[in-house]
Amino acid sequence: MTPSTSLTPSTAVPTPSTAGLEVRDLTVATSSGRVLLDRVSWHVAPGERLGVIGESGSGKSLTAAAILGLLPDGMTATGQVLLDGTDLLPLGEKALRRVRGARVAMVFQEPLTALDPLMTVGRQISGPLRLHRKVSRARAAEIAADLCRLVRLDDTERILGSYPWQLSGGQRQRACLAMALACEPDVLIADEPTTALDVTVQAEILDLLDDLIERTGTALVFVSHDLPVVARVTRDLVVMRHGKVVETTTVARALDAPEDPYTRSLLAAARAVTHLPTLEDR
Amino acid sequence: MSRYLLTRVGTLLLSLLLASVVVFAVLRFLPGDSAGTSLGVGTTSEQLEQLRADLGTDQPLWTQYGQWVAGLFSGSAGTSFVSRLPVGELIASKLPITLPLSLAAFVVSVLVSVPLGVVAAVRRRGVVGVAVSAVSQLGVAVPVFWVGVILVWVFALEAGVLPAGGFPRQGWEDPAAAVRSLVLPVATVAIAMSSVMVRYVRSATLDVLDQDYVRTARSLGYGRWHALARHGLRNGAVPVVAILGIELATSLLGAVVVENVFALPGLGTLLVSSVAGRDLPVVQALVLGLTALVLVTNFLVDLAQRGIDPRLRAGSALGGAR
Repeated sequence: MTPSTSLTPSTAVPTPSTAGLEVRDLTVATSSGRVLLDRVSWHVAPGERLGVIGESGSGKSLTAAAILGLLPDGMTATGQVLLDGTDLLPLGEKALRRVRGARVAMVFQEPLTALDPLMTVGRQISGPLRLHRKVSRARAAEIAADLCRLVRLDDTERILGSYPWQLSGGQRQRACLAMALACEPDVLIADEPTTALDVTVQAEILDLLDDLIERTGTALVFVSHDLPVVARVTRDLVVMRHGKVVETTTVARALDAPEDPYTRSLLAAARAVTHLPTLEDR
Repeated sequence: MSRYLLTRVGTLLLSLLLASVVVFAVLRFLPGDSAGTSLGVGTTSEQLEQLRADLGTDQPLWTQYGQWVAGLFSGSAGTSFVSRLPVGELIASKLPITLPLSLAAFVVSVLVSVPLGVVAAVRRRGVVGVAVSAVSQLGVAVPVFWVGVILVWVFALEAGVLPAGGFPRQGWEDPAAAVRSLVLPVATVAIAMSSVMVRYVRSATLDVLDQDYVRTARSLGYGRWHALARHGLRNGAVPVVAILGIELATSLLGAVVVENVFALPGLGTLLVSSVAGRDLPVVQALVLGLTALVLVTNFLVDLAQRGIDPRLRAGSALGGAR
């Protein structure tokens, strides 16, 4: 996979080159000085997967926003966000726009609101292609059809001509994935991508995600509050709480012998939910 | 779509018919006698009876209503009690003032308020955003006629660059003079309308900016303005079009007030003098005309919104899914 754009070296801070996406001592504070993210560090190598897990308010989504330079007004990020060794934080808005969607893309929790209700799915999927690759409308439509097949959206013609509210929840999230993967990004950040979906659809999307990462070679950062969900797609795990990384581990180790008490409690909570007695158990 | 259109046109016609009944009835039950007003004091009852017979006001109400509506269908709105001129002709002679006045005010206020409202939303915490909000607040609070008076004071009396009021006797045959005499009235109505509309455009834009799909667009590499143009125009247009419809009617009502401030012989002046003279055919034609305009505008707003939002075309079952 070849990145379609490269960052201007003049604005980049020289750092030891690491391939993939590395977050180093990322700190986010409000203008009043409240620290929301405290020296968060992790790394995902090209084609690899990383699970970022924590309860709501732990700073998972804020990390994602800081990586893309899309923090709400009044928040500032310090530290480093290294994409193949280039720090994204000091980049200006214009340079960041060439990174977003093209090299680092994102999928959000609620696929219905993440899509524009008044624009056909086809136009929304072709959007990033037209923006970053400057391809013609016709060519973008062709690629959009290919992307639909990639995310296993059958009945491609109908889907591309539909509005988001005419699709099911699973179809919408597939469309969002197609949109995010349109420009073959190096890194895909999936922020609770299955939380808004019902359980069977959730499993389908997780399988799809697993398959897509395998096939496209995109690195995956999977943000979730749900350990069993994360365990289905990632091996490496970062546990966050109150804006800090409390443990960097693997899913296997977390399940076997979690070191941090918070990881243990997350696991216990997950087990309690997944092992609820059913009618058959009685 | 065609079935919807048919139902909608049917509703429109029914509303117009109902409006004509209401307008006719209300004016008949208001105090004041047309014949008495036009003859003045010291007339004999024979003279009054004679005039009532001439005007047709001695007929039963339903006959009068029937004659009026039949007249409307054949293109005649009756004859003025006061000037004895055909009402249609009377109104047509005033349109060259009121129509340009209200349309220009409408266009100016759209051109001013849409960009300002969008900028005020995008830069909501910046100097521009706060300034636009503050000024529009002031504009809403101040009465229209007062704005007119201030404009006359500044531009006509102090600076002397524009006429304080009136309309050239030769009308649009002297276009420069006609335009000059309409500048301050247009500005007066436009200021009042823009103040209201800026706030609607601002809140519609803010609403769009907070939507997840704008965040998605930003995450895909669209700039703030680009994302807004891509998603905001259509999504923001749905509520704004509704306001535009209301404001188009407001611009006509604003013209009625402002014509009196600037002594313009337009529909507003005609309406006020006709009410004073109990000139029922003129008053009821004007009121029905304004009502029809509002109804037709609403009809067009509905059509425009369906054109913009496919969910409205898909029917009520899907319309709520958002």
